[in-house]
Amino acid sequence: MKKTLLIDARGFSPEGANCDARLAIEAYNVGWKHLIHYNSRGTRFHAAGFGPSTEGLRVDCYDNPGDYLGSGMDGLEVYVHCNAQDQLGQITKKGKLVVYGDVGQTFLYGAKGGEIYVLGNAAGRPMINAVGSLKAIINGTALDFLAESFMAGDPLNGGGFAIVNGVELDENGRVVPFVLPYPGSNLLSLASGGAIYVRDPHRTLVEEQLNGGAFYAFKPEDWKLLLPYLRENERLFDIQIERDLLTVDGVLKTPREVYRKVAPSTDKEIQAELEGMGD
Amino acid sequence: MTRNLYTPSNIQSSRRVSPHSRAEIYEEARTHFRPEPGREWFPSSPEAEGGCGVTGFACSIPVGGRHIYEPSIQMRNRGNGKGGGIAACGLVPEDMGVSRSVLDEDYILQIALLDPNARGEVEKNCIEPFFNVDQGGMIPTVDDYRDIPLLDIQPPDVARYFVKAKPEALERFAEEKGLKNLSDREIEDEFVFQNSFQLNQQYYASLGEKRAFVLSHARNLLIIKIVGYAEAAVQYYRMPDMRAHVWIAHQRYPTRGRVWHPGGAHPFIGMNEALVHNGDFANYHSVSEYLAQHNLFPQFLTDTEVSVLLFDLFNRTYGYPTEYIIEALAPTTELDFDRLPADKRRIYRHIQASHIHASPDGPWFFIIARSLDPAKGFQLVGITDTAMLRPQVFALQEGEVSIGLICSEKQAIDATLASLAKEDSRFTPVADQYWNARGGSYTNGGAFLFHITPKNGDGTNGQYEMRVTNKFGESVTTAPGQTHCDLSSAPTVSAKNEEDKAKIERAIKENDPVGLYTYFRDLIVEMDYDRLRWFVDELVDQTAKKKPSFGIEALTLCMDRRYPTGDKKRSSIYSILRNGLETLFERQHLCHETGNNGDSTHRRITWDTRDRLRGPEGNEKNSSH
Repeated sequence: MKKTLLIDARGFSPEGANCDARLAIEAYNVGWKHLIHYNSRGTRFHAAGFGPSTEGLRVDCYDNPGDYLGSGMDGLEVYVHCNAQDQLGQITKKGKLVVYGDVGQTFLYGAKGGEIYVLGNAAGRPMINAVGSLKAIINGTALDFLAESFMAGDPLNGGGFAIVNGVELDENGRVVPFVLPYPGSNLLSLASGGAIYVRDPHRTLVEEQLNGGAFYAFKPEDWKLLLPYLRENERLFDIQIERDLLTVDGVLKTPREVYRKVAPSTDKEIQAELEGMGD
Repeated sequence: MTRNLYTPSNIQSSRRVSPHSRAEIYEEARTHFRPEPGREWFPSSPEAEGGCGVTGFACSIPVGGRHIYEPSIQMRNRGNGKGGGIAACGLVPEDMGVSRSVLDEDYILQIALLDPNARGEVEKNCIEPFFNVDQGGMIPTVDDYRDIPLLDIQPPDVARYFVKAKPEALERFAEEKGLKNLSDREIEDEFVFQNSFQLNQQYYASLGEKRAFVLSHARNLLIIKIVGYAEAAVQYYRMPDMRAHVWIAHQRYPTRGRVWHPGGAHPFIGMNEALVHNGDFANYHSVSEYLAQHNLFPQFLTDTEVSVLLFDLFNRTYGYPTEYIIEALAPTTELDFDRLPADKRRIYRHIQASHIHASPDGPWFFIIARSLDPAKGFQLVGITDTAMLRPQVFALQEGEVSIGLICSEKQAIDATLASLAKEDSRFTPVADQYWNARGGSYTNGGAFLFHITPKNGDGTNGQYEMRVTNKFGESVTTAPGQTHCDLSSAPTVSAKNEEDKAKIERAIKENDPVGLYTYFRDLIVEMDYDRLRWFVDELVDQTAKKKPSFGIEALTLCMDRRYPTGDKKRSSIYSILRNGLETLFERQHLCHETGNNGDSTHRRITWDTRDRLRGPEGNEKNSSH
């Protein structure tokens, strides 16, 4: 059970010793387990710097939290009630990050774990160099270079993945799919592990977008893996699984008909080629 | 959508010179810029810059310079005080002390006098022989630069002249340089451009001791820059009340090279455009070589200067429409190229073949203010590199007045809007729309343009409107038929609604914030702004002391979720909810206060009370939030 400290960011510096993100760390150290930042004007490193094993801490951010929010978090939960800026969740290890808006450049750079939900879009290079067991749900899309150099093992065996739903909420709150769920020319390029699940019922993704990746059959175990995260996504954003995600042009489809799985290529010829490189 | 095709009819020359001939004419006219054989022309130590802050906005009404220093202050941590500057475009005749016709027809020549004694010499050698001066003098400054916070180095005196080229000088120039096939305006532009180049050569670039340089020389556009932060430039040169339709600013963070002179600060002038830049080219050398092939030579040792020279080259020398200029700077590549329509692919292939070696390589993001012909108005342009390596956010607010904004950070956009909303209730502190550009893409081309155009065709009545397009000319608009709320006036008492009140009471009693949100969502279309504001005030009143966690959760749900809003702008609804939330926050006790505080699940701390932080105490109840 938490008591809440409201931190009015007016007058604090956007970074350094006099910033409200630093005060939040002091507050946590004296016992506060729920922190709300408001009147933020670009404060950097919100929800960062609390140290290891911060389960039980919740941080809510309003107005204009700045770059690097949630970087290095290890167990805490962060809720961002607006659009966020750049470099969110860098090297995140564990915890939960929810953004009720868009996120900026290099989202989740080098992240190792955590459960991440974004209502809107990610800008360029989300999840670049991410590893481990990261789970990210992006309801919008990304500009390009999603999950470049992703190294997240096998998602069906504890590894990491991202879901890209490729939808937006229009001015009437309706879920509307983008023409292309992922418009970028590079998806999962140069990756060696992990997977991207793309809501792509019209099969718009093409091989040319996968530099070193490949399409894999979407199996029941994939859906079993995604379902709990999509349920939480539904609870957080009211993007409903059946009504909004599995229904295509008014017809309810099976998950296999709607989602596509992209993972690094395991082409035997490529393997053989790599193995022969030292000869 | 209108796809501009590359045909002679839209080349911006009134005398229909082919692009090839245009390029030859301009290059020939600039041969005297080329250094003497054997003399080094390439600057060996270009400066590099890191994560600078850039910002700009374009507005359908002219607004004061104070609104550009809010976002500049907000991004001070993206600069290091080693260079800041602003450009203003679409000025107001009364503010400049000239007539509308002088503002429209004269060039505003702004010269930084690093050596105040250089003024007479500069006027004698570079102005009096060539220009008729309609107005001239030193621009006013504050008495003591030390009165401006964080301004450590006194900015230079700046002389401003409203000038037209002397007809005989212009005629001689056109004859000597072989420019007679160009339009009168094009000849005069080139005359001014070359005069500034030579002034800089004489008083800045070629001297160890730097005495004077041209800050800007465009029509209806001016630049100020200093060694310091951008906002200090506005303050020092007394520009908070000076109005303009388009403002851009730059906080500089040089990472290497010489930086101790204002000439290296942004914005840089092309001919009729000012450019600020966040990034660092990897191919500065090859871009400079490309410019040299066209007899253009940088004088200020930064990649930003070559950026604006490139823009001007594509604009004036090649006569490209803006779409092709953007393509030359940020080429469409990979699958995006394949997805272009066939006619675009054909044209873009030619553009890339001609200019790819001049395309800036590496991270960059440009914001450009452009002064066009009086009938065409002004433009604010944001262009990202193909790989999208620098931060960029675009935003739009449409209504009785419209404003488009571009910044490195979203928070600086909101700071601008808050500054404007404080002064003028037609602005709202939150934009209607925020988005990113996808660099070098077939979807939006990685660039957006905010066009400020006269309502009556020539701008003589001072009425302008704004529209937004992407690189391809496709419009960006907000939902039609919606209006903003005037937040400056209080809601009417008649907005009180017993049904709303009862619902709030019941939801609190049943601890059902989701139920209250659902009620709100289902009613918001039919609610008018007054009823909405009363609803929010009532919710705050009923929960602030007794159950703040409920109030916070209900208001937050209303802010986080998306729903139909009828004839109301979501940005206004969001602002009303957010103001309610802040009121609720402000009613919580400060952290150090003691005593019976009712439901003390929440405490508040501020900058002034930060030293009185303590842990939660036993009498403070647990929160369910």
